Amino acid sequence: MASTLKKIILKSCDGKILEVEEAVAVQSQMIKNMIEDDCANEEIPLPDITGEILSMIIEYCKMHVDGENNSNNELIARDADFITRVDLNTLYYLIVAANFLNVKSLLDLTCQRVADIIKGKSPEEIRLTFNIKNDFTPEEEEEIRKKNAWAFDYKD
Amino acid sequence: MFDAYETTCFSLLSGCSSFSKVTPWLKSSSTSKELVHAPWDRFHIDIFDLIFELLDLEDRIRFKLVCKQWRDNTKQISQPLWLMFPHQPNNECLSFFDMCDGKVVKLNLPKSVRGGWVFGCSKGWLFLAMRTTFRKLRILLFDPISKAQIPLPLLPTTSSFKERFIDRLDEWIPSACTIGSVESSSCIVAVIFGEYLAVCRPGDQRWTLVEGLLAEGYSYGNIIFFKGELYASVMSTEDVANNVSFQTHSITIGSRRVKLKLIYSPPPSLLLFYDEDADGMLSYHKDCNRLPCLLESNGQLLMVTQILDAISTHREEENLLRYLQAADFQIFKIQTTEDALCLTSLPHLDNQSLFLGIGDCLALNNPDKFHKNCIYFLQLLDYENDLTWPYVCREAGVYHLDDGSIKRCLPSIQTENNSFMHWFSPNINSVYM
Repeated sequence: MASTLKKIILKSCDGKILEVEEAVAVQSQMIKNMIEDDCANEEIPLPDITGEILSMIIEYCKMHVDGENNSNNELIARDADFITRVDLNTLYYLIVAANFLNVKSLLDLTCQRVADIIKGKSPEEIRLTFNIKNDFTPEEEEEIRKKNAWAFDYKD
Repeated sequence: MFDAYETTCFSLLSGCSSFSKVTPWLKSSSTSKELVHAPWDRFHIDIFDLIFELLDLEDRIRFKLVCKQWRDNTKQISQPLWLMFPHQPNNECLSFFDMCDGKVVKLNLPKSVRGGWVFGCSKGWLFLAMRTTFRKLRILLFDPISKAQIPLPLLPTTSSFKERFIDRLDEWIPSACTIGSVESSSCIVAVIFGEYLAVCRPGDQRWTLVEGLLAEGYSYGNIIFFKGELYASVMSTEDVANNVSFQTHSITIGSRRVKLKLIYSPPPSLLLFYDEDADGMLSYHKDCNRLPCLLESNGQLLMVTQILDAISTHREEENLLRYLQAADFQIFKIQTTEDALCLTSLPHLDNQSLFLGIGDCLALNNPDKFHKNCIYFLQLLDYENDLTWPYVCREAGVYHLDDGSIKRCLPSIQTENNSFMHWFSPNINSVYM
């Protein structure tokens, strides 16, 4: 039992220090590998992950460790509740962090959220939603249009 | 910041020994918090992949049109092949089975194109027919991905066309349709309406009807544009002495001339009696019917002939039903000159799989997804009541060229009037802006 209570110390890029139970921390495959390689005895600095994002990830991992005995449906409901509380900016940094820390279930959840937001939207609507600049030149846009209408010289 | 993230990620995961070396790097790159907007156009390529995998075809196409980063960091969309399920006029969406992913795809139909039926498809366009009044038909091309619609001219109103085609619409089986171009830029649509071959350009006022090319006892198989010329396969429907194998004609549409080449399929040898059951109620005939199909493969024109056996049911003197059953396939490579035809038998397809029957007929080279050296066939003909022999053919399956075996693993179902399954190859260059 003693070993499961071991604490892992994580340090965010903005200097916030978080102590996390090993059972929670190993939800991150990256940290798990470090523990196995005996490299997790000192604080682990995490680049590009802010304290706010790191806290959310730990909340998520804790939820999954605590919910291990719950039914699958209950976990799905909790995941859904977690992800709908996340705004778009936060979602982006959660994805980057989940990918870096290699928390597979969170990465799946966040990417699915992005896919759900994209679904059914036109390219212009997607750009507006995610604040992306359209960097196609008018010539390139015309080329795309032409490719579609390949043979149809017909106009309304 | 992005580069730093990539570097550190790699170093960390590759082992702890290098960890201390990269630490100073990390501390200097803590700028993410200051960004007002998350840089959604600058993801790691793995993440682009993860999201892209979760999208269906329509959304993948649109995804690639958002910005260059999104376009360049996602994999190429491979040409899908779908099996379109029978469509009923009251359906609000079209349903397809993706032959590569094994998933069902549903695409909504805009209100303006509901209530019709699909009678064919070509190059990502569905040919839709809708009745406006009892004997009037509106025909249009519809791209289910981009939802683009292109109206085609109204059908001819001449009395012979009405009598021979429109009045028999209830027995309308799927039509051979094709879209192609001649002289590079102009698009031409060709459709077989019963015994008529009709061509038009979108925007034309009327169809150009080509009639009287086929002698009694012959009918069109499918049609295809190949290297700027229109080819039609022709089959014999009755026992006719076949001494024609090839004809060239010229069709004039507006100011354009289209060369039409008719390729005659060799007729069945004879109704070769094979066997019958003890009381004579069932009889079997070999090589009873041949259905030719033209398709393009690796820049070559192929003709694939499906050979059908017949199982006939009798009651006393009456012929009840003839069921046509796929038995064999022959593949020929076709080369033509102005007045000569050269057929070369093709015994092996290498890594290719052919799809033929109703809808798009095509050759695909994707041995990871499809059985190679195989023919996926779909042949659904329903009762023809005006024939002395009512016949039905509800054949769907995979023919293996290696050993000549047929596996009937596709759904073979009885369908309602005017609703059939089609092979459909959606247009992945569609734009939905």
